[in-house]
Amino acid sequence: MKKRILIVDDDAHIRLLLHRTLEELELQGAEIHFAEDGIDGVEKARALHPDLTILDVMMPRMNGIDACREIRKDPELSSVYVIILTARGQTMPPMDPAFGPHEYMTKPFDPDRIVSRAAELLGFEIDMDF
Amino acid sequence: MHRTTWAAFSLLVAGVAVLLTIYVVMPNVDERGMDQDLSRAMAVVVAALGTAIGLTGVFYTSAAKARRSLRSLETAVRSRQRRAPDLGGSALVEPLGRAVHDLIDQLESAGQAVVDRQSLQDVLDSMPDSLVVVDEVGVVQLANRTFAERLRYERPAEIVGKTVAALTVEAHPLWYAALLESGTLVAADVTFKAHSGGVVSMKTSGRRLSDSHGGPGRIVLVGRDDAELTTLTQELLETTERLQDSERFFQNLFDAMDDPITVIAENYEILQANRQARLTFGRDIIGRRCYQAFRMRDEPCLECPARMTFAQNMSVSVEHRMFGNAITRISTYPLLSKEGEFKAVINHKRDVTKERQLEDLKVSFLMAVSHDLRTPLTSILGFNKLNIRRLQRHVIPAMAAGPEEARTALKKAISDMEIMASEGERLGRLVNDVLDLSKLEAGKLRLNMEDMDLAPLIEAAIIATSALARDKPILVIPDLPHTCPTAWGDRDRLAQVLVNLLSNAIKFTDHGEVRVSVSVQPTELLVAVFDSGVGIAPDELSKIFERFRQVGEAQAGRTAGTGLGLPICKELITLHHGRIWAESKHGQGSTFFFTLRRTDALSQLERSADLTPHVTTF
Repeated sequence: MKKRILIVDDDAHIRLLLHRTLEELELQGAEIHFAEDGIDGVEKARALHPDLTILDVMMPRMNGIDACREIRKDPELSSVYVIILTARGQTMPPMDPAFGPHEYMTKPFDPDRIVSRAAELLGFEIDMDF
Repeated sequence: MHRTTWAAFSLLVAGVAVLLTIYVVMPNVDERGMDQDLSRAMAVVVAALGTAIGLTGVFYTSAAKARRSLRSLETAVRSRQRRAPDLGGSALVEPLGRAVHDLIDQLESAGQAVVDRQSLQDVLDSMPDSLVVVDEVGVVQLANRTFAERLRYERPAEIVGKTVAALTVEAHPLWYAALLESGTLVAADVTFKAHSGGVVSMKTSGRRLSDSHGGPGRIVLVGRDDAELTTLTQELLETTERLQDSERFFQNLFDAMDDPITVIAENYEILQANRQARLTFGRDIIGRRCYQAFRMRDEPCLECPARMTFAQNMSVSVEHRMFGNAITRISTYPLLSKEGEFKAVINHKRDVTKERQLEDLKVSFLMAVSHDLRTPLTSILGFNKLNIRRLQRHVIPAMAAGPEEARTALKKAISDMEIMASEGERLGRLVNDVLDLSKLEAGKLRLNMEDMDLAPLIEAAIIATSALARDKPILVIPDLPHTCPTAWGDRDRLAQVLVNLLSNAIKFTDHGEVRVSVSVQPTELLVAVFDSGVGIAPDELSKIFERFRQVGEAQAGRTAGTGLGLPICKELITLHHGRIWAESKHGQGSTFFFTLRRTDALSQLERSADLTPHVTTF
C-alpha cells in the first residue's frame, strides 16, 4: 500500500514548495495530494486516508484548526498523522488533545526539517547528507 | 479742696432756702385764697430747694466715693506697675477692676463734673499693661493707651464702641464665653486683631463684676503682652493661611482632573472625591462605601485593588470590563503620612476602552500583516534553500569538469543565494520581534511565572549561541555560584533575553571572552553578561534600549540585527519586575546587567498576584 501525503494550503506557492520539498519521498514511492482549503482538505482526507496531512491555519471556507478537528473526530481516519503549520505569534485556541494536531511547525519552515520528519513518520530512509 | 467747695455751696443754697421760706412763704400762711401764681411759684421754689439739697448731698457723697475709688485705682495700678511675675489672675484684677467699675458707675450717675473722665483715663494710661472695659453686651466702654498702642490704634477712644468679637481673631472667642459663664478668666492666651492687620497675643485675665443690684455688670480685662506668643500666633496664622492657600490650590488641581479620583479609608469609606468623581458617582459620594458608590454592591468586591494596596502597601492597577464593552482601569496608590504611617488609598479610575481597542486593533493588524508577510517569506526562503540544495547536489558535481568561468559563476550564485537566505531569515526575525514587542507593549503577553533554576537556562543559552562564536577566538564561560537561590520568572522568555544578550556580546567581540555570571543579593539575583568586545560609546549607552537603535551599525562585517532585541529584553525584564541596564567603556567591552526577584523573597500573595491574570503591579 502506497504512503499518502495530503498537503492543504490555500497558497499555490506554498503547496508547490511543499511538493518540491517532499519530491524525495515521491521518488521513493509516496503519493502527494493537494487541497486548497479546509473543506476540500477534509473531503480529500476522507477519500484518500492519507498517512500524513499537513494543514495551514488560515484558509478560506474552513481553517486548519477546524479541518484538523473534523479529521481527528472521524474514526475512519484515526491513523492520520496531522501537522499544523502555524505562524509564530499566531494564537491557537486551546484544543482537546484528542482532536488537536499531533505536531505544530512554525513558518517560515525549514524544508530539510519537514522532509526528514515526514520520512521518519512514513518509514522512508533519505540521504540528507550532501 | 473740692470737698470744701461743695460743702460751702450746699450751705449757701440751704441758707437761701431758709430765707425764702421766712420772707416769702410764711407771711401768706394765714391768707386763704391766696394768689394762684404765688402758690405756684412757691411750689416751684420748694421743689427747687428740695432738689438742690438732694443734689448737693448726692454730689458730696459721689465725689467722696469717686475720690476713694480713684485712689484705690491708683493703688491698684501702682501695684501692677511693680509687675508681678504673672498676672496673678483675679486676685490682682479684682481690686483694679472693682475700682474702674465703680468709677465708671459714678461717672455715669454723677456726670463729668464729679470726676474728670480724663483723669481716670490718665491713671489707666499710666499702666504698663493693657486694660479694657467691656459692658454687659460685649461693647468696649473704656480702653487704656497701652491697649490702644498694642493694637496699633492712635487713641484709646477709637476702640470704644467696638465689640469684643470685632477685636479678636475668632468670631466667637471661647475664652469670652467661658468668662461670661464663670465670671473669671485667668491668664488665658487671647489673640487680638491689630488695627493695621496682623495679630497681638496677650496673656489676659478678666473679671466679670456685678452691678449695684448684684446682677452681672461690666467685664474688666487686663492683658500683658506676650511677644513670643504673638510671634507664634502670627506664624501660626500665616502658616494656616498658606495651608489654606495650598489646600485650595490642590483642591482645584484635584477637581481639574478629567478622571474620577477618590481617597478611600481602610473601612472602604470614601473620604475625598474630586469633581469628576462627584459628577460620575453622585454628589453624595463622600462618606459612602466605595463598593456601594462605584459598583452598587452591598459588600466589598472580590478583586478589590484598594484592599491589595492596604495589604501590601504598594500601588495596584486592575482593569475591569464594565457594562457593555467599556474597560476601566483602576489604579490605587498608598497615601502615607510623613511618618510613613498608612492613611488611605488614592483610587484613580480611567476609561481605557479606546486605548485597549486601539491596542487590540494594532496587535490584530500586526498579526494579520505578519501572517501575510510570512507566507511569501516562506516561499522565498524555501525555494531558495531548495535551489541551493539542487545546485550543490546535482549541478556542482556535473560541472566539476566544466569550464572555469561557469564553475566560478556557479559558486558566486550559491554564495549570493546564501546571503538571500540569511537576509530572509533576518526579515523573519524582524517580523517576529515587531510582533513580540507590540504584544508586550499592549500588555498582551502573559508570563508563565514559575520557581526556576537559572543555571540550566544559562547553559542552554550558551549552547544555543555557540554557533556564533564558532569562527572566533572567543571563550564563552558561565560563572555561577555553587549554590544559587531560585528565581521567579518565565523560563522561555528569560531564555529569549539570555540568548539575545549573549548573541549581542558574541557579535561585538572579536577575541577574548564572554562571561555570564550570577550574583546573589538579598532579594534579587543579579545576572551579568560581560564581554571583552568593542564596547559602547557613552552617548549611545543611554539609547541602546530604544527601538531600532543599533550600536555600531556602521561596523562592517557584523551580522545585522533587527534593532528590537534590547527593547524586547527591557520589556520582558520589566514585566518580571526586574531592571536591566548596561555599563561599558568604549573599546573595553560591555556588561549587561539584569535583576530577577528571588522566589524566597516573595510573599505568597505576590506570587499569587503574578498568577492572577489582568492584575499588574507597578
